[in-house]
Amino acid sequence: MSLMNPWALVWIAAAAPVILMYFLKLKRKKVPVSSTWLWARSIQDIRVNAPFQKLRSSLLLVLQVLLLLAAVLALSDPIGRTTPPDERRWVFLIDRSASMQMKDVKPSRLEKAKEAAKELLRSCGPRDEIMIVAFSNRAQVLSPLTADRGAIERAIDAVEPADTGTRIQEAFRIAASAVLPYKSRTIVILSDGRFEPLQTGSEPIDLKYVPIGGEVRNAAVTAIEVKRPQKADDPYTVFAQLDLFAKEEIEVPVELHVNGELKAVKKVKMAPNSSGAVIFEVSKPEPQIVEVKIAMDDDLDADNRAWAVVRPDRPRLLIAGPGNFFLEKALAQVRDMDAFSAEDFAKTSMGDYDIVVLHGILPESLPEGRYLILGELPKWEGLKAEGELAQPAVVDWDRRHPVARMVNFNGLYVKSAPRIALPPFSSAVVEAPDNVPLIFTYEKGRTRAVVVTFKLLDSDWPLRLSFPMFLSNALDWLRDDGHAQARPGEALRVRLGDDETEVNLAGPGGRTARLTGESGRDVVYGDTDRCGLYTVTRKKGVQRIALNLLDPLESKGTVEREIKTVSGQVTAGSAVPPIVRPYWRWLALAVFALLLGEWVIYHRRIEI
Amino acid sequence: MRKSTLLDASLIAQLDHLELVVRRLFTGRTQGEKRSKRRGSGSEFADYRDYSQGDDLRHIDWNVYGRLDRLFLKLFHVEEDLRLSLFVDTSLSMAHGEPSKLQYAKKLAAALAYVALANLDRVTIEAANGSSLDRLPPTRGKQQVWRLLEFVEDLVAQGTTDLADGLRQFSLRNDTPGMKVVISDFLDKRGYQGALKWLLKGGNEVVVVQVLSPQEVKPTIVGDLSLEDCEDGQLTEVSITAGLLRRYDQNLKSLVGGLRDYCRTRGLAYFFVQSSHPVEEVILNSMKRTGVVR
Repeated sequence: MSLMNPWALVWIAAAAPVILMYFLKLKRKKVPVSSTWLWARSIQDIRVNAPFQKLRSSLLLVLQVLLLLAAVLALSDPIGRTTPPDERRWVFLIDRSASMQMKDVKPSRLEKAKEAAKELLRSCGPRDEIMIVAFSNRAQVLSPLTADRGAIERAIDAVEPADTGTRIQEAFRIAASAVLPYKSRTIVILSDGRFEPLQTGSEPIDLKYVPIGGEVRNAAVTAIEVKRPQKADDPYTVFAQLDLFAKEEIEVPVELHVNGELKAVKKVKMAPNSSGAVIFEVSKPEPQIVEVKIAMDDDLDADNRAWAVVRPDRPRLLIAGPGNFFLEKALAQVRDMDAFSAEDFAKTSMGDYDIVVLHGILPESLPEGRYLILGELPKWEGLKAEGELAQPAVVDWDRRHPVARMVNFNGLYVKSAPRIALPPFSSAVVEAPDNVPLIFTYEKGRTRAVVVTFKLLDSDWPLRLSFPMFLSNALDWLRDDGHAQARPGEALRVRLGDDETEVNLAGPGGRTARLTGESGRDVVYGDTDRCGLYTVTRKKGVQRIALNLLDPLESKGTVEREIKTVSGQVTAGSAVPPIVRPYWRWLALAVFALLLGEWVIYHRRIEI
Repeated sequence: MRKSTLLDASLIAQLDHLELVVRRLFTGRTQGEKRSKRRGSGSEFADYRDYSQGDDLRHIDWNVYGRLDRLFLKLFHVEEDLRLSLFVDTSLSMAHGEPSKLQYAKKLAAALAYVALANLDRVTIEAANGSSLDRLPPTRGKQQVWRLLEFVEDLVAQGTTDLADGLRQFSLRNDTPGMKVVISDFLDKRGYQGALKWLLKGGNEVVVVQVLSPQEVKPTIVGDLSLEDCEDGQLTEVSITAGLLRRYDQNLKSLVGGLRDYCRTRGLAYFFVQSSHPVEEVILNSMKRTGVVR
C-alpha cells in the first residue's frame, strides 16, 4: 500500500483545533429550570458511580479524531496494488483517427481518451515506466518508456487528431516490441475500437481496452466524383455519396462550391443509417475545384467536406491487341479522351500514353502506368491461374468501388475463367464462388490497373449494357490521378518537373512546405493528417491535390465494446482498467459511518 | 355572578356536595358544623353528668329527675367550625412548568377553601416564599368566597424556597388545631424534613400536596446544556444522556417516595400530583378516596 498524495497527511494538523475545541468550554445553551437540585444530584451520582467516566465522556472526541484521521487518509489517496510491487511497463495506445474527433462525448473522443490516459497515469505506480503511442493509419511514438510524469503528460497533450482511417497493427507492434523484454507489461488501448483485429503474437501481453465514445449523429460525404460532359456544351456532373449515421431522420443540407464559390444548395432527406446520393450539374464556369459540403452541425466535421480536383487536360488512350468490335464501339463513346490504336504494338512506347488498354495481348513486362487488361493475367507476384472455373456465376460485386458504380453484373454469363486468388495490392470488384475474382483492381506504386480475368468473347458481357458503363468507369478510375484524390495520412508524392528542383506546398490549417529534390523525381510530403486541398505551386502553374476522408467506417463511429485479436481472443472494454485498488472509497465510507455513529451517540443518548 | 379563572361553575357544583373530613375532633372557636371535643349546646346528645351548683338549669334532664329523683345534666356535643389553614408555596420554582404549578396550586387551594367555606368552616390562606408572605386572615362564610378567590388569584411567584421557615411561621401563626394543607413542589435544596416537622405538633390534620410539572417528572430537554436554577440562578452544566436521565428519574423517585413515606409514617395525608392532572380529579377521586373530603 502506498499513498498517492502523501501531502494530504498535513491535514492531520486539523486534529489540533478539534481537540482544542473539545477542551475549551463547551458553549452550552442556557435552559432555565425550576430547580437544578435534582440535576446536580444526578450528575454527582454519575460521577461517583462511573470510574471510567472521563474516558467515556471523551467518546465523542475519540470518534471525531478517528473521523478526521479517516478523512485525511482518504485525502492522501492510499492505494493497494493488484499487481506485484515491481515496476511495470505500460504503453498507452491513443487512437487519433478521424472517428476520435467525434463530439458525441464532450469535448471530443480524443480529449476524453487523453483524460482517461491521464487518469491511468495517476493510478500507475511511481516507478512504473510509461510509453505513449498515438495511432491513426500509422503509428507515432510520442514518448518512449519513461517514468518522467511531466514528459508523459506532455506527450499525452501532444496527441493531435488526424483525419485518417485507423490501423492499429503498426502501433501495437511498436508497443509490443518496446515492452517485450520486461516481465510485467501492459498495453492499454484508448480508442473507439474501430480497427482491424489485432495480431498479438505469441508472447502474452496484458492487454486492456478503454472504449471511448457514445451515441453518434453524423452525416458524411463518403464519395465525390466529377464527371466530364460527353458533349462540349453539356454540364459537368458532380456526384456525391452521402451517409447518415444517426437514429433519426435528418434533412441534410448539401452545398456545392465550385472554384470557391457557393453554386447550389440541396436538401436531402435521409432515413436513419442510410446512404444517399446527391447530383449537381455545373455548366459555367469550367470547374477546377469542386467542393461538396454538408452544412450541418454533427459529431464529426472532417467528413462534412470533400473536394474534387478536375484535371483540365485530355488524357491519351492507347488500345492494343487484336481488334474487337464491341470494345472499339464502347471506347469510341469515351469523349474526353484521345484514343489511339497501336498498329504495331512492339514498336509503340507505352510511356507516351496515359492509359493502355490491353486486349488479348500482354507484353513481357509492364512498366509503371495505367492499364485496363482484358482477358489476360499479367505476371504479378501472387497472381497465378490454378485451373479453370467453368461457367462461374457472379456472386457479388463491390458496389462502392468506383469501377463498379451503377453497373449491374447480375446474370452475367461467362464460359470459363481462370481460378486465381486475389493477388496483393488488389481489391476484388466482381467475385465468382470461392472468392475467385472475375474483375479486380490493382494499385502498386504508380501502377494502376483494372483486370478482367476472363476473355470477353467467352462471355455475353459485350452485349450487355453493363459493359460500356464498366469501361467508362474503369477508364475514369484509371485516368484519375491517384494523388488528386489521395487519402489523408498517406504520403503525398509530388513529381518534380524536368526543369525544377523545388516546389512550394501549402495545405489546410496554414501548413506550408518547400519540397526539394532531383528534377524528374518524386518528392514526398508526409504531413497530410488533415483533410483539405493541398496546393503545389510550380514554375508552370499550380497543381491541386484533394485529400478527403471518404471513409464510411470512420464516419460511422460506432464504439466497439470489445476488441478482437486475430487468434480470436476478446478483450472487453472497461472504463478504467483496475490497475490499482484505491482505498479512499472505503475510508470515505468509514468517515460516513463514524459520522453516523457520532450522530447516533449524540442524539440517541447512549449511555456514557 | 363574577367569574373566576380558578373555579368554574361545574367544579363549584361538584364542590358544593363535599365537606372536609377530620379524623380527630378539634376545639373550634365558633359554632359551626363540625362536632367538637367540647360538650355544650349542640344538637347531638353526648353524655350525662351530675348537676353541680351553678350549672345552667336549662340543661337538666327533667325526665331523669322524675324517674330517679336526681339531678342530671344533659350534655351535648358542641358543633363547632373547622379551621382550615392552607399554605401555598409561591417561590419562583412554582411558576415553572407547563401548565404552571403555581396556577395549579392556586386552583387546588381555591377549591379546598371553597369546600371549607361552603361548610361554614374557617379558612385562612398563607402564601409564602423566602422573601414575602401573603396572608388571608381567617375567613368564614360562603359570602367570603369572592374575597378569597381574589386573594388566591392575586398570588404571584417570587423569591426562593424556604419551606422550613415558611412552615414554622405558618404553624406558629395558626396554632389553632385544625386541618393544615401544604401545597408545594418540595424542591427545596435543604430538604423537607426540617419543614414538615413544624406541622407535626399540636395534633393537626395535615394534608401534604406535592405538585410537579410534567417537564420535571419527565424532562424533554436534549443536548449539552447549562441549566439555570430560576430561584438562585445557580448554573449546572449537564450533557443530557440516557444515563443521566435515568439517574434523574431515580432521584426524583427517591424524593417523591421519601416524602410519601415520611408523611405516611407520621400520619400525614400525602398527595402527589402533576400540574397536568385536572384539579377536579385530585379532589373528587384521590382526596375522596383517602377520606380528606366527603
